[in-house]
Amino acid sequence: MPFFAYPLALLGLTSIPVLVGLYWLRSRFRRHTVSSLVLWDEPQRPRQGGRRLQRFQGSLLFILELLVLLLFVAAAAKPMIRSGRVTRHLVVVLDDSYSLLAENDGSARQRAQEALEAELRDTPRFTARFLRAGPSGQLLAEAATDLRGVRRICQQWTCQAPAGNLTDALQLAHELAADQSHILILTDQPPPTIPEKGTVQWWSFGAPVANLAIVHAARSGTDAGDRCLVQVRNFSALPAASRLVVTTEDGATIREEAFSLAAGQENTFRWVPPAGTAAVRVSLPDGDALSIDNQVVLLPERAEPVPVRVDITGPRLRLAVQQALAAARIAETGPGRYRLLITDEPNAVADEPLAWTVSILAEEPPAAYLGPYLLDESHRLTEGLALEGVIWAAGRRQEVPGRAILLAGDVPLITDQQTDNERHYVRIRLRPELSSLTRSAAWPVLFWNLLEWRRRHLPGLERVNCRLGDKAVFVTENPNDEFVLVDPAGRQERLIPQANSLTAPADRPGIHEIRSSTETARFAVNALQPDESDLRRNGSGRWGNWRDEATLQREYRRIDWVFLLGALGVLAVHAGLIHRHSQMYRFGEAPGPDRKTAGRPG
Amino acid sequence: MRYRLQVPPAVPQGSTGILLGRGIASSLEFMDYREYQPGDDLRRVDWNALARSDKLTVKLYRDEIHPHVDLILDGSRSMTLAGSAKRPATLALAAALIEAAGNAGYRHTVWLIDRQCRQIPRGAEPPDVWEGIDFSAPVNPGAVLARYTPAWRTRGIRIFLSDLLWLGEPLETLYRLADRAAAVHVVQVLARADIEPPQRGNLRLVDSETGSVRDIFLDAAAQKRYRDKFTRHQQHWHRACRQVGATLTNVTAETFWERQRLDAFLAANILQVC
Repeated sequence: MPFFAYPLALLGLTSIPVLVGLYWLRSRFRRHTVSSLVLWDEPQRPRQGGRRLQRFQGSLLFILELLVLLLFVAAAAKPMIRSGRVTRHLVVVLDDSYSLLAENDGSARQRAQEALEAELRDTPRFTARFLRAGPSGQLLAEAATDLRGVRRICQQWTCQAPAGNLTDALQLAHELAADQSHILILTDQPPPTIPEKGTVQWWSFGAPVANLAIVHAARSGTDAGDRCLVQVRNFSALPAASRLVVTTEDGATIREEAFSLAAGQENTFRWVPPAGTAAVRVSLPDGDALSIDNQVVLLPERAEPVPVRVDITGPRLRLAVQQALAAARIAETGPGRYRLLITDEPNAVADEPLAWTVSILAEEPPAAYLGPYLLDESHRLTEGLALEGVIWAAGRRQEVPGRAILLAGDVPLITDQQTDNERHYVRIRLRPELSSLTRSAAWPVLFWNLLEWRRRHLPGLERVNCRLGDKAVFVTENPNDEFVLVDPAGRQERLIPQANSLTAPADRPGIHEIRSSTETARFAVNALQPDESDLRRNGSGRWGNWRDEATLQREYRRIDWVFLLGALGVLAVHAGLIHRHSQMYRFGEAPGPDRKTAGRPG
Repeated sequence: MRYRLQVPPAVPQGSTGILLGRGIASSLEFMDYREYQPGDDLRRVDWNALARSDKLTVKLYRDEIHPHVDLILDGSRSMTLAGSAKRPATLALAAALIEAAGNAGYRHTVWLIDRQCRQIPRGAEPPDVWEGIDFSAPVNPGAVLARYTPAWRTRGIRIFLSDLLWLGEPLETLYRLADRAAAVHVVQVLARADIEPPQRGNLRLVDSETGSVRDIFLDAAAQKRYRDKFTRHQQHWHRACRQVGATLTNVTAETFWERQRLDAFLAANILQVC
């Protein structure tokens, strides 16, 4: 598609009113009354010829002069068209977040693909590489050189990601893009900053529409049985009403409730599913712009206790540990196989192959610490752990191996050492007789975290209800088996265990299944991202410009000479007409008389 | 200075109002013989001479002229061309010619060509009492005369005052004027604007007769073409007048109105000084 390199030259179009004015002024006539028009006529000329010829000549000359002006102005504006001999290199960043599935006279994804195809359809030669922007950028391996290839690659653009990290993807695109490449971002939101001229164009195809979405869903096991919780939010500027329907996996309705929400309001629904209910499906059946966030599936969380062996000689400490284990209610301290050994032996080694070890070290000389304590908050053991006011007494006779989880100054109080086969060895420096820790709330919290952490690494799934974009971790005692992941659409994908665990992507909403010859486990994936469900900030538009000087020289060629040639041609025709006009005057065939009045009475 | 109308080439005879011209015509006064020519009136063949000489001869008689002037005025709108002296000059000319005719003992009738050719009220009286001359008819005088040729006085003198600016064959008009007339004088009254084209530039020409409009660009070439056409037009009328034996006198209205002189008529032997 042609464009003008110097559109300011189009100001030359202001010369057109000047030309029109000249013609208008020239066409003003001095009124002069004559006795008769007889002597202003050519009696021998046929009546039909002159008038028509005169008008035709005048208007044609004007049109030609107008055309010449237009052609000169167009030439001055330096029109350019894309050269068909240059291959255009393009890196396309596809926003894979599920908000692009929102329907508003078609989805944003659909409009984006159509726009991309339209852009490339006008490009004779191109090479397009594609980056899918989910939580992180992912390069789609193929490069397309024709529209068929573009369509084939776009089939992988499913918009099932919980977020589109366009910043990371853009950075990756810059690394991929060569000097002569352009980057095109296809998304549904306006850019945070306008792209600078030259490399990047940002095309957005979203629409700010209302949406009612399930933003949180959970199912947890308690002493009283399963409990389900769902939060629904109204992402719009107007009140909304809908229904919440809960069904079993077989389709039986457990609960149905109509509700209404004010603009921006959120409502929480809680209920206890019938005992033995496997999957619970929750939906908002009335529908809205985005359907992916109108339904969730919740599987029952497993309540398997952690087999624990307590091997502590000190009575005070043993009592404190036993009380903490009892308070957590997820520990089983009976004889037999165990998965967690709690001991006060400094170098104790569990005789169970998958057991973790927690060694509580009573070292000399003791020192009492009042804080401040430094916690590694990314570790599961420190989750919710509050140590304000706690006196922690410990010795520091020797260095303890492993990653420091909790420190008092430069003294590690808790360390975590990961051994082979995914086993952990936790060391806790503690002199309980000099500490207030065992009498504080932090003590049962610490043991709850320890047991929960261990339970998640027991054979089976770490979590059965995942959010879209998470990874489902499955721990197995048979890593040599062959594992297959079956997604909600029935597609199968082989999983390769790493040590005793394997990781399955939670990239499709619905129930997934991990199968082997000896084990089967199911996990549910739900789209629960409020940022994606909130469509109010979406918009459409195109930002950025690829036409910098270098691009113009490389990909475009000037066609101003065509306009100049055209102008010269028109000028030649104009000159010819003028010449013919003057010849007609010379031979007495000048236009002018109104033949209808010729021969009238004088 | 007083003028009188001259009857070319006639000599007034008697005072009864009958004048005999010097030319050959059909009066009862025998003048001469000549050989018969095709077209001659067979009633004038001298049968006695035929018996005597076996030759066809015809008798020639003196022309008989009635002492009457029919003054015909072109009543079209072009005679009142805006910015010109055509109207007053035409009226002054008409009055002067009628006065000269009266001085020569002629009676007169004044005719006006508008939608037809009609006598004006009190047209047989002196010019100061003439009525109904308004020069407002959008007509072609030649076409009017072709349709409404009035009963002018036979053997009388006919004077036609007009600008002659219409499209048509002059002979057709002149034949009607000269039919059974003793003499025909055509007086062309033109404005200077009729003779000289206007200044150069874009002109919107308005026809004073019909109001028709024509836009032209007038340059030197167009001015020349106008002058050439005007000259051809004049030559055409002069040729036609010679053909029918009429005289054509050109008068520039503004010049006549300023000087009030009849030299052109004296030179053409239409008037003579008393």
